[in-house]
Amino acid sequence: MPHNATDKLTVFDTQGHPYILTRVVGQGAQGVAYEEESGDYIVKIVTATDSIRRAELSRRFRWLCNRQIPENSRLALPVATLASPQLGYVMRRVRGHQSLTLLLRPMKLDSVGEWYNASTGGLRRRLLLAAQLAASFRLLHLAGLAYCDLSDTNILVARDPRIVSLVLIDPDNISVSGKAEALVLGTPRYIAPEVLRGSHQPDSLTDTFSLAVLIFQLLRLNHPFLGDAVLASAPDAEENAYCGELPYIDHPENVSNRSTHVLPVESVCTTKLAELFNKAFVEGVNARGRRPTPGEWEDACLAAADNTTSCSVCGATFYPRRHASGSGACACPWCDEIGTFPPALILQDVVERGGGRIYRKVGSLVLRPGETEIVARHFVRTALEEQHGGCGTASFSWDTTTGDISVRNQGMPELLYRRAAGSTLISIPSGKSAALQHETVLYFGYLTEGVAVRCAQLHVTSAKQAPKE
Amino acid sequence: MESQQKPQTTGISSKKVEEVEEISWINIELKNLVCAHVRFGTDCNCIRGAVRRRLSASHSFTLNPNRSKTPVESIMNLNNFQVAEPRPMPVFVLADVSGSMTGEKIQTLNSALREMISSLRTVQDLRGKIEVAVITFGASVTVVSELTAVDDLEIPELAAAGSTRMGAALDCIRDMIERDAMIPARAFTPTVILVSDGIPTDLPKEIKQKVESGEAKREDLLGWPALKALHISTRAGKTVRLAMGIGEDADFDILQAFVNTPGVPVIRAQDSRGIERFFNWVTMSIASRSVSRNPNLPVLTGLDQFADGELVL
Repeated sequence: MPHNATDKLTVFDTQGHPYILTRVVGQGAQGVAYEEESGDYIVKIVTATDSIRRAELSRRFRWLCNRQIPENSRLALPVATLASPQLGYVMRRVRGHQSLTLLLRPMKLDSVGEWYNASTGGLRRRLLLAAQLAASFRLLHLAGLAYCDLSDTNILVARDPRIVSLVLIDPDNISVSGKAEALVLGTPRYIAPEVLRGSHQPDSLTDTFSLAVLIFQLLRLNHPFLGDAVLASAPDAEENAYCGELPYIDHPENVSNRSTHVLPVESVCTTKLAELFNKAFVEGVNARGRRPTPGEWEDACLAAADNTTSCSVCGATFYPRRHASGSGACACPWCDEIGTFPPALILQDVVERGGGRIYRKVGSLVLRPGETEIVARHFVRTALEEQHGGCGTASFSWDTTTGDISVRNQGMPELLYRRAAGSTLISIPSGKSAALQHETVLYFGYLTEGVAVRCAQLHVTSAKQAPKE
Repeated sequence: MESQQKPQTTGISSKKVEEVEEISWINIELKNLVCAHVRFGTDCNCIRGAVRRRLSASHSFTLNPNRSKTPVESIMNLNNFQVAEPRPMPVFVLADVSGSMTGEKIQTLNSALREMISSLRTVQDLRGKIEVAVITFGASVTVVSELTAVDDLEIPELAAAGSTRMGAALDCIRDMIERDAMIPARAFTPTVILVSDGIPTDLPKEIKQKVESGEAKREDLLGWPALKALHISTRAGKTVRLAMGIGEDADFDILQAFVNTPGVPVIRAQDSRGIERFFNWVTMSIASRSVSRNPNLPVLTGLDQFADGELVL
């Protein structure tokens, strides 16, 4: 490599601050990324020589530095631009993170199960990472911007598989949506078909396509358009697939591009997620407006993560499905361990009107061994609650040995429960707990005429154990 | 042992299951199952995959192709899932180890090759897995390493001695590339890297005379049987070819005739830094190929690291 320790280069930002470059950390078509001596920053230097391109990049870097990008958008943004004659920018170094690519293809020698679960955090972590990525895109799009170059190499995730943290790097291509003077069109695997065909420039709707492809790969470990036939033929065939000329590998009618190298949809997707993928890769290929929005992906991924349970033996996370051998059991799809079917809360919105009640199921939450917390998105905040000062949370605890389940009010202004239909409503004051049984109904908020509140009904599958072998 | 018991099915035998093409409703119970492949129908209505469950666990599932695309209970154990194999991305290194390479040149070549291999190991790519073969030519042609996944590759120290049998080396790699068993159809087109510091010693007499007198034209060189055979062969002709000449005695016309691709320069390396720069460029070119739109074309980014005198177009 040309950049050894012997030829350390010092560059300056426009404020005159020096950076002593130590090591090349990445090389791309547009430039080189370096570590610098303090270890706090990454310096990106453009190597392209074309003067028009350099001028455009220079303008863009200054724009990015001054841009109001929403907080929590998980973008590693430039903190300074380099002084002439260098062209480039300085960004904060993201510590303890590695490329998302490592979550898409197993390392050699690992068993797929070990890699998917123990080394990279399993289904639940993947769903939560997908939700973070979708949230980041939602914030960016709401600010009128588009990321324009989504790819696995532009995303870093925490190295520790227990931590859910994701950062988008390479902000060079962020543009005002619809006004992209695209310098690069993106990375082939993720580029929307209309950009590949040349009819559109990258914008927020092409972002949503790339987002769907990335989430699909993260969960199912293959590309949505690379069926077995494509992968068996010469590499050129992939281009037709990326252009949307071949059907989605799970297309409901057209079976000509099926894949056997994709994790089964029922194992890693909820019905809602499967539906969103269909929307994105069947209608959404050509009908740009029908692609699921980042917000839809975020909600669906969070809801899916809420419905995972973990295996007590191998630690894998999965959606519990009823095992044929007994209603109280569910089998781990990775190691076949048969465990107790976890208790779940069925979340419903209730409107009380003239003595009658209207219930609408809005989701469910599987209790994890130990503590599971209900958070703001699990219930509706009413004006009344806001008046009473915030909404607090409720924490459920499930003791897997005794099977006992209880709830603790953590600052909710009103948390009520009813043991059985017809019995009286009991209030749980803040800081207090109550034991729960099968079919207990909990109400978060005030049951007031005409005002919707969320209720949760606890479902405990009969404790009948799976047959012993 | 109990595990040797044959799978029992009710309603339909496991043998027959594979033959069923059209199905309406099937109810099957599998008992005492150790491992079986079950497949119904021809397309999306099938359950594919291995069944590996505990011995006494019995499974029943119901399938209605008209209603549901997925069985009531999925019986695939996810550990049997196989991720799609990445496409092989073959790289052939043809290295001149003639006597004139002795000394600093061969040392630099050795270390630059090692650097390239270690950089290629860090390429994280979803589409391709890089495989490298190393062939040396001096007094004879030696396949130092057959195509090997870059993670498993260990190249011995190359030593310089003897003449420059480049023609024989070209014949050797053409033969390797044309062999189907070595490079499957789904592979990326191979990259061939030629490194030399002199005039091939196995040129036919007429061409040799023209080269030595400086009268050789591009057509003459393209007519060299070793090069001609390479260029017209179906697979080897489509390879991405990159070349470097080391020092003043290298024959750049021959290297250009080898590359024979408009716009792709031959690199002239004057010193060890130049050799390093060449391999760095090759690494970038290989790494970016897999993410380029047409992965079969050479990627020329990174040429700006060379000085003007280092590019022979």
